[in-house]
Amino acid sequence: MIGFSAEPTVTLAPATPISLCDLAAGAVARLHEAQLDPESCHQLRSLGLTEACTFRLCKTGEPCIVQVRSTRIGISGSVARHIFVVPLPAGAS
Amino acid sequence: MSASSVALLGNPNTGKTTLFNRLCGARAKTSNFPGTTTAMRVGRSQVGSESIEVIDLPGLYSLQGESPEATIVRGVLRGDADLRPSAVIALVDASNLFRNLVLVGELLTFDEPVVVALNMVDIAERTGLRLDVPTLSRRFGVPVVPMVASKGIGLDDLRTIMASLATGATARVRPPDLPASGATLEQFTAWTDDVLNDAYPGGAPAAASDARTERIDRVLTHPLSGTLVFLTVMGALFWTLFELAAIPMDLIELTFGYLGAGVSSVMPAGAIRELLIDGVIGGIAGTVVFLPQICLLFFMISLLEDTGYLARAAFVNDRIFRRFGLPGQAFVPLLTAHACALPAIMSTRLIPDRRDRLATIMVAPFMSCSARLPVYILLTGLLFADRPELAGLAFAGCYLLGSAAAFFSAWLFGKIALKGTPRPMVLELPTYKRPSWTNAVLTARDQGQAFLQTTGTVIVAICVVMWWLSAYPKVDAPVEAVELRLAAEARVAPAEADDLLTRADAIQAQAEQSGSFSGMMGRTIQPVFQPLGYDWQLTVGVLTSFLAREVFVSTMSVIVGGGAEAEPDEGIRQRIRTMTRDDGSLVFTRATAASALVFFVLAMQCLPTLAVTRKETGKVKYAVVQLVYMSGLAYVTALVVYQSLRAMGIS
Repeated sequence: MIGFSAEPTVTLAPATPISLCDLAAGAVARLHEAQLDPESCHQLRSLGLTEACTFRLCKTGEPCIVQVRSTRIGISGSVARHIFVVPLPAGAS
Repeated sequence: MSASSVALLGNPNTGKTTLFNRLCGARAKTSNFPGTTTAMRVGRSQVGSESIEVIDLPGLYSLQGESPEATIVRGVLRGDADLRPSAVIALVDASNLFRNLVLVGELLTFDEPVVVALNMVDIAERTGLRLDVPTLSRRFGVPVVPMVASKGIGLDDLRTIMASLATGATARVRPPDLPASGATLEQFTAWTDDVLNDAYPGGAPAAASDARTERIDRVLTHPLSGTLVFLTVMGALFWTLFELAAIPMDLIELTFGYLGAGVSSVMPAGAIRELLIDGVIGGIAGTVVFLPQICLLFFMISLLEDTGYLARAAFVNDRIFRRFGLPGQAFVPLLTAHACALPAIMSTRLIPDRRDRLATIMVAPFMSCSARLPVYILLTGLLFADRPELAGLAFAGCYLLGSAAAFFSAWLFGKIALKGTPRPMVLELPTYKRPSWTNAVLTARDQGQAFLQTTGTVIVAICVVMWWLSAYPKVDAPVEAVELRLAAEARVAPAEADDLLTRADAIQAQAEQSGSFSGMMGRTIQPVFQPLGYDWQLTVGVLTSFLAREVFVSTMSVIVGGGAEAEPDEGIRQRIRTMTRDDGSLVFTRATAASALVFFVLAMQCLPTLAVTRKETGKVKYAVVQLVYMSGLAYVTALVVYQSLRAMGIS
């Protein structure tokens, strides 16, 4: 398992993290962990999906589309299922 | 590098190409960054009396990491390979500042003078984003120029600052709170948040969702509607490439035909005239003829890329392609390869990951290109001479076989040869924009120029060598040809005399083909092709077609005593159909024709493609592997087909 940084992964919210694939369209979530190879992790981070960032899931399915700040990112299912997020209450940003 | 040079740095989709074209106009050259296969454009921008060199750096999201783009840009900023610019223009999209400014933060940790070009401020203002530019400039410690590159707004201000920075006239203040070099992306993101909270009056706005973009995305990335749109767009692209490019291609062939005839009429017969007409002019024609397809392809790709559609299309294809170890972006090269493998391989530059790009380059030539068409027409006609409906099916089967071989080979290379797995698809989905025609024209021109400069010379050299192998050593005119010419001289009726002279020329061409080095090689190598059912004549046809596939048809035409036309008439086809081996049996039995057809579908018989593969991969070994693998697969498959048909009593 490879997280975003060399430090041990820290759970940032009390709620149980779920896979990005299980998040509902339109939901806002906080990035918890990405169990991906370092290169893919770096790719996500450089696109704006940095550690503990908040984003909105615009579209589910293949690909799922997330919006982090004003950047829209398409993520294939094979990547999304390894990204774990913590859903935030409606209206959070 | 010049004392006055600036580098253009920015995220992808920020209008970098547009700004570069605005700054440099038509004065740009495309080459590769030293020691890499990543394209680099260098142009000159005139600011008053000062001519400043502009280096267009590859688009990237972060200076960290080991991607080829990040490695190149870090190298340029450090001054590796004598490319250190005097200043850097950091181009950012004003409507997407958060992510863009992270890269600016990383850039500011280097010591180069920097100017931030705040592009697309019109779009930002339309979406209600109001930025305090002086505050932004103060926080960065560098000048910030609001602009709309596509309309030229703010360009003069940028040029003035660029000249001042490039000549070292402006000092730079490093922001005191800037994260140190080597800080994490999270630290740069936090710093960017802080800067923007300051620079947006009333604090940074929350990212709003764009309902229109979301609706379009749902359609374009949907498995069904996305696929339908993709097929329509690619059908239009393919049609344009195939049909529209044919007009200038025909004109080019016609022009070079006239040029050859002109040289022929003013020069005395002999080796130099032959070299000029068949080697040099033929070679240049064989290179230039690809230009319309290459330019048109890159013109259309540039338009599609500008609109933001390509990123969506990549996801539509990724579902299928990924299973075979190919990236979703491979759809452009693989589809283009149906017209010609050369522009197809060049268009793999769209694929960011080197492994994925290599996989696509290696298999693209399996797709049935337009050069295979005359061969397919001839061989399917020989295979099912009296059953045109079956010939049509066999023709379609060739396309299917080529595609199947491409996907199978990609899967195989992924299993045994290419290190790593295909990079999972994670892409920024840029906002939809109106494409820039100027960008498209300049991109097409740049790619065409790069093709002529780097690959064209190799192709011309190959053509000259292949011509020499086919033309030498010279053989004496056969007795039959001499007699026919004598008989022609004795005829009064010009039509009869012309007919006799044509027959004499055909017989001589046949003898020259047979006696040439390529003819001799055909006879020597024939035992290798014996298990596939080929006699020496068919072997010569196969060998000469390694220059280019379509040469097979003209070679077979010459061997049976016709002219060297690429599209022989029915009389010549009948003679090819009935041509015999030395033992009197037919050359083209059904088994032999099927075997030859399969061989031509799969074999790598295009030296220009190998030249482009070498250039685009940066290594000869990939061209060699492509040649050996494709031709080996063609040989084995043709062998299986021939021997199976014989075993079934079909011959």
